[in-house]
Amino acid sequence: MSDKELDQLFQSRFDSFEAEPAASLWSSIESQLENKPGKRAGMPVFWMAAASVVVLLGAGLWLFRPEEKVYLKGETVLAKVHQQPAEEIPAGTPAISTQPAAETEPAESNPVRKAVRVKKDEYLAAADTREKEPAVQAVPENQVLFAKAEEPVAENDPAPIMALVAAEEAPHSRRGEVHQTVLAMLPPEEEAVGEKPLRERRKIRSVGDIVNFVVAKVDQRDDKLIEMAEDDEGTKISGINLGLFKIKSKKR
Amino acid sequence: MAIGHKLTTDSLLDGCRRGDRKSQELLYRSLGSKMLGVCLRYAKDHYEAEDMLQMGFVKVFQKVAEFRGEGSFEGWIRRIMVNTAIETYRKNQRSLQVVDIDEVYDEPQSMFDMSGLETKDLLNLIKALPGGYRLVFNMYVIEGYSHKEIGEKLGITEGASKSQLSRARAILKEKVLKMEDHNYAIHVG
Repeated sequence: MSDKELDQLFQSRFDSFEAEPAASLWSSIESQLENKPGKRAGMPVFWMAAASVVVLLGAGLWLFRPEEKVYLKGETVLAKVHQQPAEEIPAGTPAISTQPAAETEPAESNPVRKAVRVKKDEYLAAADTREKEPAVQAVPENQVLFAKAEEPVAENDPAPIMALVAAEEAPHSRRGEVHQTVLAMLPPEEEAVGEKPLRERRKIRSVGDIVNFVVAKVDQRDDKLIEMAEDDEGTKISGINLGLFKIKSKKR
Repeated sequence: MAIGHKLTTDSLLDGCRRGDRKSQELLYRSLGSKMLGVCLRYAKDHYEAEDMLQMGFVKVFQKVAEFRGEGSFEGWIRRIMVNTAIETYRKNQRSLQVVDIDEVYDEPQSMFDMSGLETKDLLNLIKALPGGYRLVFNMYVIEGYSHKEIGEKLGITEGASKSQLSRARAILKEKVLKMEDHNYAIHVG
């Protein structure tokens, strides 16, 4: 028997092949139609929900990819002298400033950038839970000095990611624009050392701040359920922690 | 149930577009048996076939706005049945349903066709094919999809489609010949 013969046998037999469905089938169809009235393109809500979840996750992941390159910021200067935890930050210490480089603290300004461990402060109300000083202080230097951002970060030593330092104490909270700037280098392995994104301190300036505030109140973990941070484009998600699933932005 | 097909079907299209329940029911009555015939070839048993039929028609009525008039309305409906069959197959795959070959032999409630018993036998042969082969054989030989289209719909390569088809054919040929021999033997003594 050839292929053709076989095909023709089946084709001819099944062309006119019909079978009567159960009598109740139409009512089943009808009731299903009634459950979803006015469905035009027939996209069940379920799929839309699923699609939006996927989109959100995708956006979150996308915003949050590990960065391999260095960020150069034009004019942001961070200057802060960050001493031992016990020490108060001297009143004169600026927190973060977006002033042009010219205003770098004379006493501390160094054209050379030193990457340091930054003490990450907890956000606003949650400041009390945070203080991981010891771990952070493990690193000899505590000073974060950034010179003009023009200087390429490239040759910086094994230094870890530099991050922004927010003012520790309320009185010293940032002045003017707190614009977080990051000069980031990324040896990813360094990240382990108590990295936490900085938080704006007392002021609530954006949706992200509100989110952070609320989350901080509720979530006692180090890595919050969701963390928001600002970059020059606005507020973005910088971290998500769902227990099994954690992402943290390394930009900061 | 095989009322005047083409004319009835096309004239019902407008009613279905408007969501008119009567038109919808008439369409179902007009084409239901034929479409069940299609589903029976794809499903592993009669119950699954009826499920496919129901899901297929619900989809038809929900998506009728998307039918743009390329080709016949009936052809479009048939494609939806095939798509439903593919979905069901995939779902079965995922839940790793193991179908005992013997279980596949299922007596349909009522069947009427032109040539008596044989179609029933042939149907059983098709149902006895392993799922993937059955899909490809049905789609290629009876529905007339190309290997390219089959590949796209099933997410396999054209080559895979071709080889599954030829294996399906080989199995069927062997069984058909055995059947014919058997019949012959019975009749001739």
